[in-house]
Amino acid sequence: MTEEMKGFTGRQLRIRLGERQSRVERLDPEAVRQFLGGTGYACKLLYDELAPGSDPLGPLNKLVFATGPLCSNTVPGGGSVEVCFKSPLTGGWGESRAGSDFGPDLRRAGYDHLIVEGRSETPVYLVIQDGDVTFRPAAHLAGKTVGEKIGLIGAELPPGRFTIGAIGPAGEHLVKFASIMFGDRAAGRGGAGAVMGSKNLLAIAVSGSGRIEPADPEALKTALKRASATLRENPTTAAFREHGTMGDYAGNDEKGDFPTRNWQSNSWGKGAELFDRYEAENFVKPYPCYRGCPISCARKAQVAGGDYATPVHGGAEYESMACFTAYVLNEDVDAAVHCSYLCNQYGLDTISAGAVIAFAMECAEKGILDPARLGGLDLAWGNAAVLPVLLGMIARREGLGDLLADGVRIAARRLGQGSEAFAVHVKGMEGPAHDGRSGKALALSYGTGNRGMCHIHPVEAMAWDSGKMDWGLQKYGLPDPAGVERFDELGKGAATVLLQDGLSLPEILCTCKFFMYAGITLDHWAELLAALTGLPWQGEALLEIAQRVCTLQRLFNFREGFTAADDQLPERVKAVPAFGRYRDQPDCAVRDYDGMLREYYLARGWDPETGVPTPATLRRLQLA
Amino acid sequence: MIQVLLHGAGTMAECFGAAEQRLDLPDGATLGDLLLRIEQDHGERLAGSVWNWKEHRFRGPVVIMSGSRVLRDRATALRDQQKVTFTRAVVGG
Repeated sequence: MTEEMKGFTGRQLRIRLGERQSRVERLDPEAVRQFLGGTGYACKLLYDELAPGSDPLGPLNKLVFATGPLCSNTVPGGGSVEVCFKSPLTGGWGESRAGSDFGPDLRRAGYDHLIVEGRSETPVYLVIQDGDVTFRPAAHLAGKTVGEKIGLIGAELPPGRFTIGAIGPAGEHLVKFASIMFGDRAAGRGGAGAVMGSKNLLAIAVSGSGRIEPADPEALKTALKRASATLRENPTTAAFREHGTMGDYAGNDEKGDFPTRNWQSNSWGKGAELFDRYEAENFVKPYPCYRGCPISCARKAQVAGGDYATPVHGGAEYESMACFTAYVLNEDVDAAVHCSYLCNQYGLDTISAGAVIAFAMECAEKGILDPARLGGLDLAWGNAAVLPVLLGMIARREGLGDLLADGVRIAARRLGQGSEAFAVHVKGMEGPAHDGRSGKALALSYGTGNRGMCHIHPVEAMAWDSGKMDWGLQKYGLPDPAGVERFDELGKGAATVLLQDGLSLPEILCTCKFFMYAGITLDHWAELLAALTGLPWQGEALLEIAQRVCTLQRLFNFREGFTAADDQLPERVKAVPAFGRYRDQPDCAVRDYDGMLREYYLARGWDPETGVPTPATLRRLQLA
Repeated sequence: MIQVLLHGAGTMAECFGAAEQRLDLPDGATLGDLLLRIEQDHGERLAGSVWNWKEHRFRGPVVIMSGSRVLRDRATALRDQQKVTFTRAVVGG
């Protein structure tokens, strides 16, 4: 296929762990045409190859490390890899992105995608160096932290520049929100680390020396120059570099975009104070998460001394910090930085980890966790000292940690006693540190997200109706955010469809969404893609692919037993906040969620009652 | 005396009460002088999440630009008719 379509390596590498076999295959040309790459191609592959009802932690599940045509160190945001799988946390579609050289290195090795199947009888790690694939025994790595594993593997590798993806103890213990770590960067959400652990695959090292020729090198130079100029002139580029994602911490508290005390409120009032403390005492410097990133939003952070002394490391992102402060009412910023570091070392998703602890604290407050379950732990709100202890217990599935390691949905089912009412999740995925009460489009995006309650796959929609961003989507029909009231609900359904489609393209093309915050639009992506592939890509065609991908992911979930009921939001996250700045603001509550959902279904071409894609929609998207 | 065009982009317009306004500043005025003037004129509208009162500066991702140049140093001299844009970026995450 890819003799005709440049911009791809044209090959995928399939690994059969049980047989210790590797096989190079050609990409499916029809799948490339319809779904491009990244989460799109991987969804088509998993939809076709994965038997419905497969155990996410059984040998039949597959782990796809997907890249796309923009995955390259020279393309803005191209240092990305999309890990796709059936999620053990939700039982449905799983995808998780990491910023890393892993994706570009996999492509340099000659593969657009890496598909891992089966299960090794003994712990193993994989080394891919161009055309050579070796399976190496990994018993000596078992139980080690991510940093220890990467250090040990690095010493065993042949000469060459390798990028390593590894799981920590949490993945080995099948914690359902275990991450895969690429150094300090995580494919965090949905439990990819548990799937890798279930296969007894502890790490993958990749190195490549090849090159993918663009179809039109001159056009590529022009497109890159245009994108670079846009990035240089956009103030958000500077904002990302100077403050990283933590830059929004204080502002989110003020705007009611700051879930607090397990979502009892959407504001806390401590944001500015804690942000200043973090910037003064913990922030070290910005760094790029892949070679060549012109934004460098990632942060090096540390805790210089004291109870939570933590070495300089990459971490302390907004989500992690908000989850280990506001979620659990912890005012000790050092402790939060330390917890973020521990999650990276254990290979735990920081968002779900903070969320399950907040849930446990509320259970303890309400007397739902009896002393036997608590095992002497003091789960009082704001008790910083218990956080690192509990993280270790979750990662190793010890005591109460074993209950929490399956996520809040399953923990609440086991505990009962009304705890389901404050187990905040959608489709089983715990909510992140943005609040749909700050901008109603986010509430809808949370409910309808195919991977669950996620703020960024596909879109941080409150950045539109509350933050007044448009990502260049007005020309495709998105209403001007300047004229949109953030607490209004009418009209948010149709807008959310376009927001989700436009902002899911970075996952399909395999680039970084944050570049769209800094001025890169669909038109930039289309221009780059056209130069790489030699095909006349336009924004509209990319949006159609995004619609197709969204709908196929929907079909994947429905095949696993999901229904429209799984698009509902927990009552707590729709209610007027119990305290804080927005306590007396009924407009802040989500008032007619079902009305918004109906509008969304109609705009998607799905049945307005059942949420099932209609036959006409399936035909239009060539999915019938 | 110089005149500077203060531009509040996006949500910063709310902080300044208007998207654009002209401010008279003394000759030789610097970015620091402009920030103090903003505090004086618009302090009541500047939320605690945006303005650091102790250090008389913006907090978090408020970016100050003139043309395509980011202004960081308070000692930066401003010139007559210079447009200074303040943007409160959404930095995701």
